[in-house]
Amino acid sequence: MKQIKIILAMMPFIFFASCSDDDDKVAMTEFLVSVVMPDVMGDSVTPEGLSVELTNMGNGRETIGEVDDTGSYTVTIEEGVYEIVVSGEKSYTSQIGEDQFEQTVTVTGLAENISISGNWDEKEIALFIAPSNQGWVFKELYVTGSQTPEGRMYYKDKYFEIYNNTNEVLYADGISIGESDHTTSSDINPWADIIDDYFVTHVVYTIPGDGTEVPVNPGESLIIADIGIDHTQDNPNAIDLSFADFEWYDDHPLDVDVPDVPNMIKYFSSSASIWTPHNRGFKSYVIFRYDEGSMEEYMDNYMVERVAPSGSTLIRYKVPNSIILDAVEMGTPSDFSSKALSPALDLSYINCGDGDESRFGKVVRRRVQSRENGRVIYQDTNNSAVDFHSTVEPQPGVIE
Amino acid sequence: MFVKTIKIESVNKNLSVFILMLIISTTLFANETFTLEGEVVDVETGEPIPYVTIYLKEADVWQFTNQFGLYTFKNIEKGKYTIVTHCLGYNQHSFKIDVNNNSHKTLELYKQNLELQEVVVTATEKASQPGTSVINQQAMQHIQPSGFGDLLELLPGHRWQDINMSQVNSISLRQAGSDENTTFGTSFYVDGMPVGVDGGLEGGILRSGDLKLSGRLNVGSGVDMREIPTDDIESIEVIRGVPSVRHGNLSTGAVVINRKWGTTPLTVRVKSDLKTKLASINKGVRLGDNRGVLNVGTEVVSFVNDPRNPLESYLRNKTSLKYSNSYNFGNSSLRLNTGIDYLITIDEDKEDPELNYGLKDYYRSNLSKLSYSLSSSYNSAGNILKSLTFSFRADYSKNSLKRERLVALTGPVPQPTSIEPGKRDGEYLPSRYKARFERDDQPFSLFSSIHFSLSGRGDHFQHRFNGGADWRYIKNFGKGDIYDISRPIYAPSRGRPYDFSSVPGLHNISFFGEEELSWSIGNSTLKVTPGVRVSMLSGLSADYDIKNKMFTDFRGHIIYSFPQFNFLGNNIKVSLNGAIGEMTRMPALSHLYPQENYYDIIELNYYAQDPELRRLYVNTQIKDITNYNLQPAKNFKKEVGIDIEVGKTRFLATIFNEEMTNGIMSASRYIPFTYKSYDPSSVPTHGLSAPPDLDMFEYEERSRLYSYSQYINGSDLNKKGVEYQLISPRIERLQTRISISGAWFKTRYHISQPEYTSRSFIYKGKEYPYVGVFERGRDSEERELHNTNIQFDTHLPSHRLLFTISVQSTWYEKSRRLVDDGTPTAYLDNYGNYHKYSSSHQEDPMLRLLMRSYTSYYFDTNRRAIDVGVNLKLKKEIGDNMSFSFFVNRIMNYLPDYTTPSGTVQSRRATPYFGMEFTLSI
Repeated sequence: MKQIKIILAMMPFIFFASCSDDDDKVAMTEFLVSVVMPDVMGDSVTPEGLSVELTNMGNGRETIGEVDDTGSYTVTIEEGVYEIVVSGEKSYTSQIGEDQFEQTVTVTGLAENISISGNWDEKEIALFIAPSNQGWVFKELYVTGSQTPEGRMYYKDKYFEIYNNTNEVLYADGISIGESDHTTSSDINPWADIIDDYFVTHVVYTIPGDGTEVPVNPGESLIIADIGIDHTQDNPNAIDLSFADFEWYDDHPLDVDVPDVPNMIKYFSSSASIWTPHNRGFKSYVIFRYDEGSMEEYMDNYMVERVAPSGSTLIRYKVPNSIILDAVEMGTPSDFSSKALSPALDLSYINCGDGDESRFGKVVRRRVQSRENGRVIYQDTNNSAVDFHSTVEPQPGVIE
Repeated sequence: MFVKTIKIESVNKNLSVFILMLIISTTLFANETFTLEGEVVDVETGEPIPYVTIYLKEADVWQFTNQFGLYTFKNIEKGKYTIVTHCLGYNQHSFKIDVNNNSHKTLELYKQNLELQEVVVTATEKASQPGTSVINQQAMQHIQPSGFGDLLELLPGHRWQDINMSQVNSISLRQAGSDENTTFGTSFYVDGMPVGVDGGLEGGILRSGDLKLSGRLNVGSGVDMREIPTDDIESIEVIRGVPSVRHGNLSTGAVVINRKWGTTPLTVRVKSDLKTKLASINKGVRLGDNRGVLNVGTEVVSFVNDPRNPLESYLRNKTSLKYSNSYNFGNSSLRLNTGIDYLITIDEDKEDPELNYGLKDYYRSNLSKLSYSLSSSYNSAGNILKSLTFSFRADYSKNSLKRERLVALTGPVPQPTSIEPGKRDGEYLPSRYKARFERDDQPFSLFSSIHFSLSGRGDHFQHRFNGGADWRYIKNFGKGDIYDISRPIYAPSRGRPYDFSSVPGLHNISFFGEEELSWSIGNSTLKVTPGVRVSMLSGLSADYDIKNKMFTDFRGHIIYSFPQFNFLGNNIKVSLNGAIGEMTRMPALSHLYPQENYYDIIELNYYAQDPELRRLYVNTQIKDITNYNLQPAKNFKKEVGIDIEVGKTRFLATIFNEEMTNGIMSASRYIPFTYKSYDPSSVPTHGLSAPPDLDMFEYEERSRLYSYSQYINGSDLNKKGVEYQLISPRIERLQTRISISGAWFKTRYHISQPEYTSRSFIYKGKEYPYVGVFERGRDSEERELHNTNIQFDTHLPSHRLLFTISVQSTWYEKSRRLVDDGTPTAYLDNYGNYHKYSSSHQEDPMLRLLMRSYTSYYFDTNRRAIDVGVNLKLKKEIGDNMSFSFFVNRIMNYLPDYTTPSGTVQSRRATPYFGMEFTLSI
């Protein structure tokens, strides 16, 4: 619908252009580029001002222009094979429940090997929000657990899936996972004064290795599970995690250790009991890598303490925002009150259900942004409200 | 005989010498004597009243009227006498009489109702025993109680509270806040015999939250006041101060309940309020000439805490059957009371079937209690021996709890099942199973006593010696906690079944002697009551330090009454009183016989994908957590008071201080165990066809501290305060009496033993190994409150109407934690070694974490603002047979917001609570 409107609007110009340059020696084509803005940005954001760069693959000649408020750019160019890149910055507002998030992002679109010929030609280019960083991303977070057929909670099948979002081999050993100390349903984040520099976690589990032991190919993922077994044997509503890559094992009478799935190193936990991610999804998650030294050194230098009103000292760990590889804020529309993450790491938050039963057996999964030679690139704009699918079926290990 | 017993037990030489001297000092007089006789009649009907207790005070003799309402005292010396009558349903009355020759005196008694001029609906202070509140039947009825706890608002410093009968209802006395030692240390006496409460036991599994026992289990913590119905009570004395040595095995005070013995009309009471429905029927019937009186009563209470949640409820039924009779032998008399009571309570908590997906989930807690009592009291007209009372009481309870549910696990869970110490294989629990838990607690107690009193008089003094011996026996016949440890109701379970009947019985033997001496010095009198009580526990094994050990309590009261005088036409009486005393409370069976603790240390947790290859290897350690050095709790009380009567206005005030340093409490302690930790990842599953052998694994030797709870004498409780009461005469024009009752309490709760505190966190892959030892408990605090109740009771005898407005005000309530610098004095390492904590440890990256730190406002005083509530009560009698009552508590409130030390503003709300009742007497 949108495209048709743009084309209809362009008709008079096309007509006018086609009547002028008719005695040139080089065959010229009247070419129309029309862009389609990403759906998530809504109708209110106009494409006006985005730059268009057409590169003739034969002679390398470049033509530069800007789209108008209808998203069109018309130019007369030599016939040939072109690569067209559209890009520019746009601000928009996203919304979860009643919470609104204002963000400026880079919007880009690409068309390769476009053959332009004849008097008139056109190309429509779909734009997407450009990833702000590339590297490791959370692909799926399964924090709410499932229910047994009897309706009881089952929470030992939780997992996280992290993904190599680059086109090169990355090593996962040394990556740590953390869950925010702050619960996003609480009114005040006790760590609000350092939020611009640090994330405060109450657990640190690290994939063992010296940084060369766990290679992950481009487009592949790792599954970090609570217990790496096929949970469907005990609970048909649960998830098969028998192919998990790592477990977070808590040496505690409530946990079991699966011998064939290597354990992460439990560097820190504020409790000597077991860790289960927040059941209603009120916490935030990060993966980070401390590269400046060993984890031992990290442990020695990044402890933070807070005095609770009840008169006890709480021990937590702070993670510099600069070493965070990926971060996802979680909350629910009904209960979200305050952020655990700096807005630079995640502008908004994503929910799995709304604290109700719809959350059970569901995950939040990152959206696919594009594909490059079959390799899936997940969208990461540091705005989980748009980067993630909320409350969807789990697909551990499935990249599509 | 008594003296001889003392010698055999080799108690205390001083004591026996003391008693002998008293007996020798008794002087005898002989003079010309007369007969005093007469008839007791109902003033309205003129009918004679049988079974009235007649006490001739100066001669110290008792009688009961016969079936014709007649009494006869023979051999009475010439003099002025006071006759005090007591009869159920009639007002207590004193008559003055001069005996110069054989006399006849008709005594007219008034029925207790609102046609009378004199109605007392507040607690009054007992003049002969300061620190004791007396609550009569009319005061109780006016409260319109559902249970005993409702009556406490009559005590100074207390106010009306909405009592949640779905939870154990414990007493608090003379304190701001509440605590277990006060509850445990308050003895309840019914008709002179203590209610047996010490035989309950509990197993370790009861700590599990899924059994819904929070606030419902009452083991080793005194009387649950929900179990005491009020309809069968004639009067109550609450001894807040120093009890007489007749009352023993207590550290706080005593509640002395006198039940109804005697003829009463058939009385039906029906009550309903927001949460409670109550119905009771009572009747006291004369069985014919000289055949005594039978009292029968039953009462049902149903309580629903939240009317929106009918799934949680409490139901109580108590039925009693009592027989009494009395016989006169000349001037002597014998009274016989015997009765049987049956109490049943049902605590029910059903799961909402909708929330529970229709799964079976069943919870029911029942208590049934059978009590038998017998007492015979001989009142002698002899010159030395005045009375001899034999009492016997047996309480047998069966508390059962049943819980059944379908357990669906949150994931795989290991479950150790060994009941022997040592290493063996355990099991992984199936993901869903039916679990069943049953608790069978059958505490049994026997009480038997013999009490006597001797008296004598001289020219200016009079004395009375009370002595006696008590024997208590407690035993539990329950089967204890019964369940299948391989299918626990709450997984994983650390507990094991515990057979309560395997615990031996306990004997508590005590003796007491008390001398009441009064001197007349001119027109003033001095009354001194020194006493001593000796008690011991036996039936314990030699491991227990308190076995057969004597504990002596010295207590004394003194009252000095100034000569009465007249001032501006008012008769003024002033007396000063003081009391001092020690009180010993023996530990309960549950304190002396806690269940052993089981520690199931998982050495190998090999949870292979293939169930055939899984292996759980557990090292089970058993720790006896009994504290063999546990001592009884001992309280030391001091108080002074003043009692001023100006005409009919009475003012009383008491200043008190109580100190108990060794109250029984449960404290955390730690024990190290070393074990092997096998690494499951060192043996891959491929190639295995059966669970792997242990020697295939790599392992690490580890040691860790494990916690347990132990009863210790560590609770330090200090209570001080001022209690006051002012009762005006009835202001004739307004037909209104004003009573002011209030108290200021300052209570310090402190832990006198070192406190062990662990930190639970994982650091660098290992559990934090140390446990800090602190001199002061984190929760030590001081609380303070000042409360005043002003009651206006308007009585219109012509309308048979009684209307009261009670303005109950807590002027302020404060709490303040006792300052602690947070530095431990010592610490335990993971091998259990004890190290002194020095200042250099505060720099150590690990040991510094033992320090406690507090927010800047943690030790600030939290002061709650004023709380004023107004309660209305009305009672109207319709003819002689019916009455209607109505109450609204907290109909008006003043509850201003206040700021807490953390800076938050606290808002409070109170909603009116109302109810009504109807009584029919035929």
